Amino acid sequence: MAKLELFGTARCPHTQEMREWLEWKGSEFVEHDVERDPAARQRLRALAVGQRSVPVLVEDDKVVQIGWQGRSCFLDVE
Amino acid sequence: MSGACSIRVRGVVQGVGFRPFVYRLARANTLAGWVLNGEEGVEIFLEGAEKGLLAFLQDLKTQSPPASSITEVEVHRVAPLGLNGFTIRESHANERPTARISPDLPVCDACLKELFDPADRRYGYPYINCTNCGPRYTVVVSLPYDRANTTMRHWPLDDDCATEYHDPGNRRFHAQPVACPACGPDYFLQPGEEAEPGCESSISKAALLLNAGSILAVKGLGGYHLVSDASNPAAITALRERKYRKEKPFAIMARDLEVARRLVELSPEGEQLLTSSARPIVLAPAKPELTRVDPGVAPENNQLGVMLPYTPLHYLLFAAGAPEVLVMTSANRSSEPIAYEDDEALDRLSGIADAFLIGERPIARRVDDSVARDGVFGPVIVRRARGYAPGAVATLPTARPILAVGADLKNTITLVVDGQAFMSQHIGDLSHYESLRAFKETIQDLIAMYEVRPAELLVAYDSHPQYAGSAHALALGIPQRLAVQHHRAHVASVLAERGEFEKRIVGVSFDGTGYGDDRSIWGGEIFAGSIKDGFDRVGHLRQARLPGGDAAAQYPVQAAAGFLAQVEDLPDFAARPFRFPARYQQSVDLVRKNVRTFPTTSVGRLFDCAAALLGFTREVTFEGQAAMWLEQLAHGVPATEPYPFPWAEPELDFRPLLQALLCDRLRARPLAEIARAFQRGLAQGLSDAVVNVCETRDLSVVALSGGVFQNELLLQDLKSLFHAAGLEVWTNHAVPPNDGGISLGQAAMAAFARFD
Repeated sequence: MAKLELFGTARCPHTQEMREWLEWKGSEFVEHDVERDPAARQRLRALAVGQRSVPVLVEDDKVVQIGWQGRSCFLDVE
Repeated sequence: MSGACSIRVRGVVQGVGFRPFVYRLARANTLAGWVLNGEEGVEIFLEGAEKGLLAFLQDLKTQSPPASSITEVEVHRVAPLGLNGFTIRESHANERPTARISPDLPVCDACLKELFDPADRRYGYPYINCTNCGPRYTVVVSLPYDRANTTMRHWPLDDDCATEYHDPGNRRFHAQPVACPACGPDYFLQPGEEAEPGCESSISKAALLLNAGSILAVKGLGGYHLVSDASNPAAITALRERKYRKEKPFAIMARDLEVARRLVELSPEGEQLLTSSARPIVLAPAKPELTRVDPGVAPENNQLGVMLPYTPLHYLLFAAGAPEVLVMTSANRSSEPIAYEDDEALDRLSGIADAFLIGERPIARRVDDSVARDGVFGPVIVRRARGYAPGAVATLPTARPILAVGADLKNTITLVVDGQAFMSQHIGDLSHYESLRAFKETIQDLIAMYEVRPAELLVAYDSHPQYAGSAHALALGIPQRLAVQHHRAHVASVLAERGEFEKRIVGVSFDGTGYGDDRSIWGGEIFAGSIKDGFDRVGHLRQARLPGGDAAAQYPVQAAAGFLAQVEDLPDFAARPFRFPARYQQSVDLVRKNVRTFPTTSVGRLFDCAAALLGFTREVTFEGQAAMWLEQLAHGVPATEPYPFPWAEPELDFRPLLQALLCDRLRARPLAEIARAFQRGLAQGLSDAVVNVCETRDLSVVALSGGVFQNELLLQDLKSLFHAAGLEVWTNHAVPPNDGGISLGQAAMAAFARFD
């Protein structure tokens, strides 16, 4: 089964919507809060160079979706 | 029976002769009180007989000046103050303005009559204007709209002008840019032995130079134009060479409507656009028998962009004997923004223009000519600038101010204040330093004009991580930021124009390029949803691999290599009839090795591929050129059997489409028929997809946006297909369907973003 990871932040409403959608579909996924977790932030940077918005959905170490239905939040940390 | 009321009028009511009109109306009804330009519109206090008050209120809406447009009249009953007489009060500044600055207006008939009346003191004066006409946005430095806040502040009124300015019965009563030859600015021609005052002779000399085949830089409302005789091939060739503009069509100005009618096919709506107060460049089919315009004006193009004179100077030039059809192109080097400051123009245009016709009145901001056409779904604005900007394009249900910075190509900016979405003029391609500077200036300009505090703003930007405009917006230090996906912004722009925020629709966004959710290059996208809920991507063009990424937009054969990699049994493209250049094979190698290739669903690139197969194998010199070439090719061919372009959710498969095209090409079917069958196939496939999405999701409206939907032939085919399927079609009217409309879509998406 594919490994799904959701990179987002606690206060981003679009991350929340993507999380709800994944839960509703019954997908198994791991969520990373890139504001609190510098290591996750590092990984997101490596996976999606130049990407500075969340949420980002990663499947088997490949970015499959940025944003929720067209909207995404700017990631305000270095 | 007497009473009093205070009235506030909102809309385009400043700079259009509204206060003088109110003054006259109040006097006619023997009412006392005052009127002033407040920052939230025109404010009126009235007292007098009840009958007079009622008559005033009735006539206020029905008899208002032609250039004004009232959106709201607020009336409050108040106690009479016992005033005597009616006065126009000085403007005052307090709350944040929602009053709109009027776009620039063409010279009116009354002023034209004076312009050519030898007995008038403004006879032949190129800066003649009145409350019904003349410059507005291009002279306003700040609000409220009063002379002291315009670029006319350096020219004090002489006694004659002052008398008119203060006389309520006069057409120039409170006309802010009013001037005359005795006190106002002038035009002069350079080079001359010295700067030559006496505008009439400068203009006559300019007309002589044009007849002799010279290229002139002429100062207009929002910038300089390069002007030359449209019937002189040598002048056109020289202009193309000096401007580094190889093939992109030039706009022309026809002396009058009669001349324009001889040049192009004009529908009644087309004529209406041409003569409208925005006076845009109107794109229309050229008449084949035309002889007055050199083919070099619009090479390989059966459309011409025509406009009519709109400043007094234009009329004077034609009256002085200038050729009746002039090339009038923005004075810049290719893709740079229009030059608008005198030193800048002299500097940047030396070596391009043989002479300069310079006007002394400064231009407050650069504004290009607008471009419009009467399309299959009614009038469309292709470039929104002079005559339209900075008008409101939509009302959004939000109280918070929003700054939407648009896309990097064909950039515009939208500022939302109190729910009114004001769109800037067309700024251009932000990869050019000059355009990026104009972009930054325009943001500052709009924020200052509407006195928005940056800290309150929400900034909406394209999710493309490499966009220069987005980078600048993020560096502004505005705390609230929202990235909006490019193609959804296109779809949202259509809905925002119509005020449909919750309506669920199918949105189709076809264009050349935009950053997708999966980081690939999108451009063939089908969505379902609404602005409020967001848009789900429910379909797209089958993915191809594009060698070189966005750089492939330059070379149709490069795009072809990407798409054809998925087609079986390919012939030798180096041989006849294709004769692809070496770049094709290099691109094929890139795709095979999968280096520097990027996944794409771009319909723009699919058009490029088809164009390459039909013979457009050279480099394109302006955006969308190959697709336009293909559309022109298909024009005039009766509807043929469409090539197959099957829809299998969520994919539109281009392989059968290209296979059929290849097959016909090898059979030497006429190119025009192939082009037509390709376009028909595209329309049929898209229609099948949309109808299917509508059925499964119970939707009945389809919104179309994106640069591909400037293809009139495609729209024609789609119109009949969607109509037959019983679907309603929505397209852009107030903002361009190309990337010029993106900023409105971003603003609308931001207005409905949640911030917890």
